[in-house]
Amino acid sequence: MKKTDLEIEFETKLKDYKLLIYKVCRMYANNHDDIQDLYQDIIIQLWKSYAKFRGDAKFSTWLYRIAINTALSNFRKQKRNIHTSDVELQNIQIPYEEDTGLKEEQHQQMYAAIQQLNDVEKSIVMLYLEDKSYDEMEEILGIGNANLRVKMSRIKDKLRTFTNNK
Amino acid sequence: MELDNLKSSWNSVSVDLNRNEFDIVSATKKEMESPLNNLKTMSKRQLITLPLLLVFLAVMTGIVPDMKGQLLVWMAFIVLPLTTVYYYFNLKLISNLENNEGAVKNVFQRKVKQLISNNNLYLYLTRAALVTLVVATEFLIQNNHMDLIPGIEMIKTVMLPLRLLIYAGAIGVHYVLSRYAFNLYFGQYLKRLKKLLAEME
Repeated sequence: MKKTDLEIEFETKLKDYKLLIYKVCRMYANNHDDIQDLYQDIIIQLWKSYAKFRGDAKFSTWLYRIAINTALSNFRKQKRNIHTSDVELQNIQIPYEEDTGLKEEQHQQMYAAIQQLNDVEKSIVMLYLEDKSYDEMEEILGIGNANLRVKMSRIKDKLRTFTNNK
Repeated sequence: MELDNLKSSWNSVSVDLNRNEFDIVSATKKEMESPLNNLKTMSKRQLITLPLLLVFLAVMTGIVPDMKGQLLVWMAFIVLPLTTVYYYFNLKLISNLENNEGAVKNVFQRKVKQLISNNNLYLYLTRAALVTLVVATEFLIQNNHMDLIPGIEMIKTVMLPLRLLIYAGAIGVHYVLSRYAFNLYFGQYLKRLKKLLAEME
């Protein structure tokens, strides 16, 4: 089936952001299947909204908003059934991350500690790790700058406690 | 170990997302089966069925002269368009719930507000319809207009205190059922959104 111009444009734009979407999924889903499901959910939401994207915000901001929104409001207990054939599912296989120096015990501990945070805190941590400024975080999450700083300070304390208790 | 030390390893995560062909758009074109999709289908079905029922009723009322004297028929002429309007707003609500554009907190606030106001609208409409029916029934019984609602004679044989108890029971059942229906369709979703908003404060 021939793709429309919009589809081609969407695919081209999304190419640079696959890893970003993957990181969001990795933060909120714990196993390979859940990561795949969430990845697909986010892509579907992005595609549904793409026609309305007018460039008022940066593409990455728009993408973060939809990705985090989808991840947070995801019904994890009610797993969705997606009507796709096995062949089509193969097209969207997401390989697990390769070992890239994450084996260090401390890093593993920190990742484990992040998993203990609540969902909103996880999104703040993720944006922080992505080197987003507080202004950008505010634009994406809608949480006030001052509130974000307080939350970030609390999160760091929490993580310190979690890792020290190990 | 501090969070800042994790930044470099976080940014060095590399995943071969291009290892397989990644046909995004063909995946997005597949219909998803979700609770919201079921509700959407139900609302669309009602939006077709209810106006058809209204037309059928209008035609039948024109053909069968006895129907013109039935209070329930005239109530149906009020209730059916109102229910159609309700399902139209329900469909709009579901489409809005699927819209994830905007800052995360704002989107959640908007969804919570819409869910609550939609539920209130439904409750007020159905409660008003139920109370109207109860008042109309009692009015007809008191004024001996037994021909306007079929089966009203049977209700008349019940003593007034017991009748009032039955009316109260009907309103109570409606309250319980409407709460149950809302929780069944939207409750879990609303609870999750409220929890997330609390975490954002």
